[in-house]
Amino acid sequence: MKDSEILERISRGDERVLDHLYEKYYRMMTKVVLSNSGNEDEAKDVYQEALLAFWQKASSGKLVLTSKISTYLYSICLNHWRKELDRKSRLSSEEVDGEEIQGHDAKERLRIVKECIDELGDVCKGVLTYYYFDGLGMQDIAEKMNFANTDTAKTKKYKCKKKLDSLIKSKYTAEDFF
Amino acid sequence: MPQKNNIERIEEYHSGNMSPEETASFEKELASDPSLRAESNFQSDIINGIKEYRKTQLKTRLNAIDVSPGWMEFAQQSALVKSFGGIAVATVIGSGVYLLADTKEDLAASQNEEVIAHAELNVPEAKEIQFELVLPDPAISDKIEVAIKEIVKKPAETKAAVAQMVAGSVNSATEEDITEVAEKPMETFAPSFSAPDAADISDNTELASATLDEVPTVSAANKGELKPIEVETKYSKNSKIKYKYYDGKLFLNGNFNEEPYEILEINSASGRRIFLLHLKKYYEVKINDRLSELPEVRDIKLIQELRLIKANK
Repeated sequence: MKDSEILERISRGDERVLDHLYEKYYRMMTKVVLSNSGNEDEAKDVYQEALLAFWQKASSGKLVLTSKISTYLYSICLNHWRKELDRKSRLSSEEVDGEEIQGHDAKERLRIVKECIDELGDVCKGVLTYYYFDGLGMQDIAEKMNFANTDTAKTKKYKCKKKLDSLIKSKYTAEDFF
Repeated sequence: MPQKNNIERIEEYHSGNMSPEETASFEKELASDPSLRAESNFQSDIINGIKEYRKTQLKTRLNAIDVSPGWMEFAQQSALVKSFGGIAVATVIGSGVYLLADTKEDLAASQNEEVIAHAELNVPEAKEIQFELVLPDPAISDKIEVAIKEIVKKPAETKAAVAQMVAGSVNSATEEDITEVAEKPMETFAPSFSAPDAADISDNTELASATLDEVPTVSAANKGELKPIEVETKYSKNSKIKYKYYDGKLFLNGNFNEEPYEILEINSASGRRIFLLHLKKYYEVKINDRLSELPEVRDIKLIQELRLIKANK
């Protein structure tokens, strides 16, 4: 599959391309971490983060690619791992604890949001994730989800978001986040 | 020009689609309006949560993909038994008695040679497939020849039975090893592509209700635990393929001696659909505990989808 075809398919939200890329470049990309004092798990995490960052940019049409996809992915992996190595070397134990304490509330709110998303039906999950993460337009969402037209997609998105908002609000209130 | 409501503006702000001037102006407003700020923070939580949810979903999908070293490297690393395990699966799946007869001659000829076994199962011409074994020990090779003779007699031998024979022959092997490796070639038949088949997702279609029957496999798929399907074939002269499929195991009765079959999968949010390709026809495999005819796929869109999946393997 040529890079141009890959990008075209990603813009339509074709997830098979994601599988294809992941498998194709796995060895190449994990080497970045493995040959720089990282282990297999860290290498896999870095690669997955990089690939999904690429996926998100490409599917939302925000990507301007001036090199091969593999080169681009490689540079994301490299930058990501460098930052991670920096972070590891800088952190003292006090700083680690501090980070953990501050993050607790945010983690709890995130958990609630994800829990509420799980309670939505598959249609809502699809529409909202494709809209907010993949950045797909209403036309692509309508095609991907087999809606009658873009208006249906817009309405579904509006209703699903409202439902999610109220679900989360009720749980936030119970947890004293409001 | 109509004034956008706060929710719309907040969403635009968080999407990064505002111009720098608009962003600066909005941030000034946020600083001076506590209720707007609260709503903006709330929306930020939600949008962030949706993104994280989607990332987790996609990572689960990626984790299900097999990125271990290829068959050749794997066989090189492992013992004789694992190579044999792969061959056993190959013979069960589909090359037929004729091919096995050829294999026996090759086997006798290649004793004590250091070669690696491989199976290419998507080849219609049985003669093109070559089997070569790693045979460091002549005693073992004799036992394997016996094991192969057994398979020649009964092409429909189960993997478990074969595994037992091999386990008996070679001390170092365990049944788990063989089953594990035997599963490996299966994975070449079942790539985990997720086609966005929206018919699965909508509420009112026959297809949606059809996938509801597959409750055990759907929940497994949603959790990202896609187990490879076990297949057992039985020769039947009948041109119509009959099948049973339950507990992740597929039993097929058909004529696969001249042309092998291929298993294809479509994985989507609502579950896993399994298809079989044989003699250029596509069939859908559904949960079924009584031997019955395998239904042919008639939906043209679905057939096109399956062709794409096959082409991209």
